[in-house]
Amino acid sequence: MADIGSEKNDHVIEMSHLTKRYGKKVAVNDLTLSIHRGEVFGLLGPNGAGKTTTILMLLGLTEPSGGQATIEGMDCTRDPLGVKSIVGYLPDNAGFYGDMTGHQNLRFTGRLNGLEGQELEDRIETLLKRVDIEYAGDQKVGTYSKGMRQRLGVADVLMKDPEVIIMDEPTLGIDPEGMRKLLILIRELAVEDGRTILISSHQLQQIQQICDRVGIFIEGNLIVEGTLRELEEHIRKEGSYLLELTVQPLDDQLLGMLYQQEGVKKIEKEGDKFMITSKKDIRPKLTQFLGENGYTVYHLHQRGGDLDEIYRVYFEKAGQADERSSYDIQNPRRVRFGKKHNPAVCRYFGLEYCQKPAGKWRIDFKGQTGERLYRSVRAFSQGNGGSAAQQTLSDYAAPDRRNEFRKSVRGDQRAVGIDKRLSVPGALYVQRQLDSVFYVIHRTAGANCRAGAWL
Amino acid sequence: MSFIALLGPIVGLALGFDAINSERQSNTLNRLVAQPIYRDSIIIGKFLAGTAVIAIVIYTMGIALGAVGVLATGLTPDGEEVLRIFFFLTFTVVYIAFWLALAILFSTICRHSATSALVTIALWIFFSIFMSLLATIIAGAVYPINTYYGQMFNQVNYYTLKLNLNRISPYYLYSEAVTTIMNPSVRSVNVVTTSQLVGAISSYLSLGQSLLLVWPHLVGLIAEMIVAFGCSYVGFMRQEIRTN
Repeated sequence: MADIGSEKNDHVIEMSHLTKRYGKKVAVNDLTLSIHRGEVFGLLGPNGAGKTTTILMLLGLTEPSGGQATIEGMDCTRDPLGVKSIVGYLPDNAGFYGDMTGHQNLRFTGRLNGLEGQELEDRIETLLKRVDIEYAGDQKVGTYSKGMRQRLGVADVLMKDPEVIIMDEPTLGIDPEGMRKLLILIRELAVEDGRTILISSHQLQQIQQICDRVGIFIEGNLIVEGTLRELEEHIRKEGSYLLELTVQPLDDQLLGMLYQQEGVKKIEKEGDKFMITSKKDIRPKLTQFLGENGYTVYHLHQRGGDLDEIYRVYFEKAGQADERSSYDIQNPRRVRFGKKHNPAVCRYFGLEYCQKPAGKWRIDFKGQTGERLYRSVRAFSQGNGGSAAQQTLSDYAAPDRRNEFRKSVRGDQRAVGIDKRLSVPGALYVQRQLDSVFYVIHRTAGANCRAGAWL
Repeated sequence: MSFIALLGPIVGLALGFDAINSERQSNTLNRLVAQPIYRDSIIIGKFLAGTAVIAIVIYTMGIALGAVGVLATGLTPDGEEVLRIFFFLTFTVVYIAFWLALAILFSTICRHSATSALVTIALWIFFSIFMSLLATIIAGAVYPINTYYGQMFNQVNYYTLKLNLNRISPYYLYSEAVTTIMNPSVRSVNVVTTSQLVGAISSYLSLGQSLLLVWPHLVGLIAEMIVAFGCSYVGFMRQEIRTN
């Protein structure tokens, strides 16, 4: 227990280099974190990220493979009794003894914590009232609904009047009204009672409403932690703005214009919304363009500051992005269209140059999926009057054609018979096909690639 | 008494087979372990509670039946006989407590209470019925007595080995101990030759002497109980408590 005389440390929970290994698998990797008094801290992360393992280590229910965790100065592994007398733990799917009533269950917990007599009875009554299941106090817990059981769990946690409360997925499976009440209660516990609360969850909306700080866990690592504002700033600095846009008419001139904006990284379509990821805020130019060209704007929203957004960004950063980006690198697409050299085309595809005096030519490159490519080419060719182009493109973008192209390309090697003047530093591969020579320079994973072709 | 020996384990089993399992299944175990109590008090509590119940049942039953016997026959037992009955009851308690410890051991190891119950029942049937067969077979293989040679030289070894193997089974230990205690004319628990009996006075054994014969059995039963409980203790203390 903390000394009565000394000043209480502001860091209630301190973890330093906490690690847990199960054989070869690292469940929690070198975690260093401190939680301040009176705050509500959210542990976010996908399933299997190590949140529950961390909580178990904090309570002394699992032995860490390395590092140390202390609560109020007491080591969690060495002094579990001290820790457990000031920490209330609400596990997910908390169970009770079904054939005992709510009263009896709480009495059992109270007695285990050293309470007895009239004080115990009074506390049971107060807590049942506070969590709003007083009417069911004398019914057997086997008859309770899930929400009631959860509330009984909160009452159970409060029986020992803890300074720290750790909740594992408290809002899972609760109806919206119950969830609202539970969140209000949690906030009350922190603000009015001054307790420190640690919540582990993956329901971002709820966490956003009540947490002061959050920490994002992915695969055992704490990727980032801080207040929502801090995380937002962090993302801003990394240069990622996400704009949602719904306009009418939805045409490719707009797409073309969007691609031409500098800083635009990628454009995706979700339903009838465009999701534009960019390095900077494109709203000023965009709104001007939309207004001048008579578009009707139905929806324009800059995302960020939303926990969903922050989570997604960090999730992707940690390398868990969908298969598409890694697939892109391996599988180039072939596109064919017939037009003269045009710098705009190059920018669309991230080409250095492309030209062909007559007929059609081919470009090999990596970094864009068939779908996006299709849109870009379509946008461009519509503006320039070439409809045959998009036909061919869609052919080559089709999945079944990819294989034949893949066979002819050798990644990471130089093809035989290279013209020396064409060897460029950083070229990933060079290929000779018919009477043209292609090369691709691969800068960084996922970045725009430069491709060029000569005749 | 062989009735109790055969069916007593059911009592121990019923009290212990879902000790830790059911708590794990109904998710009350992790709430329990999060209270400021030592973790070993949980498992020791289960065991002691079961033993207390067994003791109360056996002793009251013994006393009640003794009273019925006194009323029915009109004969009152004297001091030594009462003590013999008391020791018999104590042996019974220890015997059933062993089965309780075994059931708790399997409830700690197995996930489902059905599994732990089945394993304990299987062990019960094995010890009660098949252990003696197994002992006979092994002793017969090591010291064969169906040959002329064997019949001359191996008899004592054969019986001694058979007895010792049988005594691994708590059922046998208990039966032997209890027959010796309750029947003062049982003079030995091992094989004795006629030459050893020369000069012995044919009368009943006193209580002290009877007890001398069976104290190893008591120690054996207690030892088996402690080993079974010790394993479940260690297992429980090292396990990780997680929601399923």
